[in-house]
Amino acid sequence: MSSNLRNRVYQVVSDVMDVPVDSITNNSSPDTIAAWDSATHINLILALEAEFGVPLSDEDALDMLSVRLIETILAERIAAESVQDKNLI
Amino acid sequence: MFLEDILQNMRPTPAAYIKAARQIELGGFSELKPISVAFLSTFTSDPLRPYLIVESATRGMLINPFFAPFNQLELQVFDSNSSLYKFKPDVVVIATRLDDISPNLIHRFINLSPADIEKELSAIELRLRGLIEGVRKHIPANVLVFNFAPPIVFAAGLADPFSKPSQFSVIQQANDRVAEICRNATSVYVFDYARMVSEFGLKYWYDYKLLYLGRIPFGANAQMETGRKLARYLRALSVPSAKCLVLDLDNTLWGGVLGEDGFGGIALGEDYPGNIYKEFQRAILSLRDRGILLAIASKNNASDATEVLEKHPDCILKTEDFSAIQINWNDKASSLTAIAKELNIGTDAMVFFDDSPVEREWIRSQMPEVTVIEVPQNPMDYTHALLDSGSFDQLTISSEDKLRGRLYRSEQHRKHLATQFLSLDEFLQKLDMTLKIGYVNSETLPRVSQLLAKTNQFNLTTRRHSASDINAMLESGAVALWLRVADRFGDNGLVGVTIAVPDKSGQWVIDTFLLSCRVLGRRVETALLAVLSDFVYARGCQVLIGEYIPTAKNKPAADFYKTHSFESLDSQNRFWKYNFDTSEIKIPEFMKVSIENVIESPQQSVSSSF
Repeated sequence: MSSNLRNRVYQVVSDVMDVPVDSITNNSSPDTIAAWDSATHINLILALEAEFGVPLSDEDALDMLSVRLIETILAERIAAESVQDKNLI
Repeated sequence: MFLEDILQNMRPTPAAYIKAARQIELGGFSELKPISVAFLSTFTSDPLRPYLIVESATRGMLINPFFAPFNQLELQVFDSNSSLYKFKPDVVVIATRLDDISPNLIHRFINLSPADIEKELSAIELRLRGLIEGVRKHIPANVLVFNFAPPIVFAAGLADPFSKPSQFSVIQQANDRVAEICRNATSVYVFDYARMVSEFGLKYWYDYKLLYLGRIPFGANAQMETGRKLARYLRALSVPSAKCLVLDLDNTLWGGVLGEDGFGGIALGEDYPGNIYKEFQRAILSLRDRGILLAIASKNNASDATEVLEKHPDCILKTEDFSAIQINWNDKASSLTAIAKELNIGTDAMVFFDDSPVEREWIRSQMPEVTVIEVPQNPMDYTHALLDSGSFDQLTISSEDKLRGRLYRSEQHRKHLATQFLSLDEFLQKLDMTLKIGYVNSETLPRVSQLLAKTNQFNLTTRRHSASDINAMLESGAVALWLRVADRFGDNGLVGVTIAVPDKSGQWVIDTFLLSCRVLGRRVETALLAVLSDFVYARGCQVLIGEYIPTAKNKPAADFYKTHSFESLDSQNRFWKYNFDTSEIKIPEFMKVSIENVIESPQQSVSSSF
């Protein structure tokens, strides 16, 4: 897992949920962060799309229920994007 | 932390807006006007919150938003004890979608008979009118009512325009009825959602996962755009539109510099690039039709400029379209102050449009209450920058507005009104000017001859020497210098020339001294004169004579030698003498001057094939 990816994910979560970056771990989820509800979850999905430049599907949105899951799914999406770019050549 | 720190360099991403909105809400910025806005919608509108707050803050407002629970309109409006009224809003936004309040008009449109359509339209009208009247019974707040965007796909598909009635025209009818309801009420206005979606692009508007997961009918960028548009409306509701647009002339109303290119040489016409400026003039005229007063603040020769306004066949704007005209050689802050006084308006009701970044910066520093439009580099973008600036946003145009331009008429004045907080020297210092002065050589000769041919205003003797004339003068021992000026905003290029000619007795006469209009009023002429006097002194000059030959256009140069301590030698003020023993010309401290191509021997003539 790229540490750069992790740092960027943590920063986005911090900005959207208004919690310090240091308090975030891979286990962070709606259960551990009070501000993480259905409304802010939507903001989080949009913020991740903008930060990483990859589109996320409705299923991704439903699945990304912890920071660990966010990282896993994002990594897959980013890899898929770059494969797609290569296929265009 | 200052507001500018939060807003500048903000990336247009959801995370950045969310963070900035939080900082704005906690920031306690007293310069922002607090406005409470309540949203009643048939869809989820909460995601708009950060965009609304940030975009409003950039327009001088601190928005306190209240989003009523999902789909609670009548419930909030008809109950005097509702959270809507407890919130005491300044503005109430009623946002509905046809998909929510009249789904038949969207999906089953093809099956509707004309009677069915009328039934749907009447139901929409009844519902919205009820909500508006309900709000009005309880509070005097301003009300914004969303109209309706077309569906992503027409029920009839490609066949819609051929259908009678087409779905598009029916939705337009719904929007016309919304407008009528708003016109008939007090302080109720249409929020043109349809137009906003169209401008942005219906194709890019929705993010389907948001629509289905959260009933949110706009994607992230569309949310940003909605926040922006709403902020403009809110500003138009709370701050009156600017009253007067003050325009420059050269490279603003026409391409080129009138003083250099002449009546026939400026770009203004049906072909490129003149058509760009002609179109811009049309846009300006449409503002006047709205009731905005037009004024001119230009550093130019008044009769030349007036000639263009009155006689140029492609000049759409005429003298009588302007309510105040200041064409002179004074600094523009004085001109703007004079215009405000003449029109009896506050300077805070003025908008300044000038292609020169230096002039814009001057006005910003001297008159921060004036709105200075950040004019784009490319004139093709002028119209958009002007009309989209938000400075002239009005939600209605009255009949008095339409007449206003014609009620104000005035003559040209030449008033001096100084209201400066920053001294001119302080301003010039901030320009970070760097000057280069050098001997005229083959590389610079073409531009030098061009300047001699074109320059009329700051030209002491208006001698139109050709390149070969200059060569001949150099061969007989003359000194010819060029001046380049760069500043914080860019390089102005080669903008000054001077030629001094010796006679046998150790007396030198300044045959030519000129500056391009671009750099007038910045004291660079002092630097050029200082360097010239040093150079001729080093060559044995004991008496330096300046010459001024008055023309119809060079009044700006009339006092040049006098202000530099030359002594007039005749009653006509034609010849002026500089005394090396008693006077000194100092280069202003805020300028960095460097000399190029320093040669010890007499200047060589320049061989060229001109």
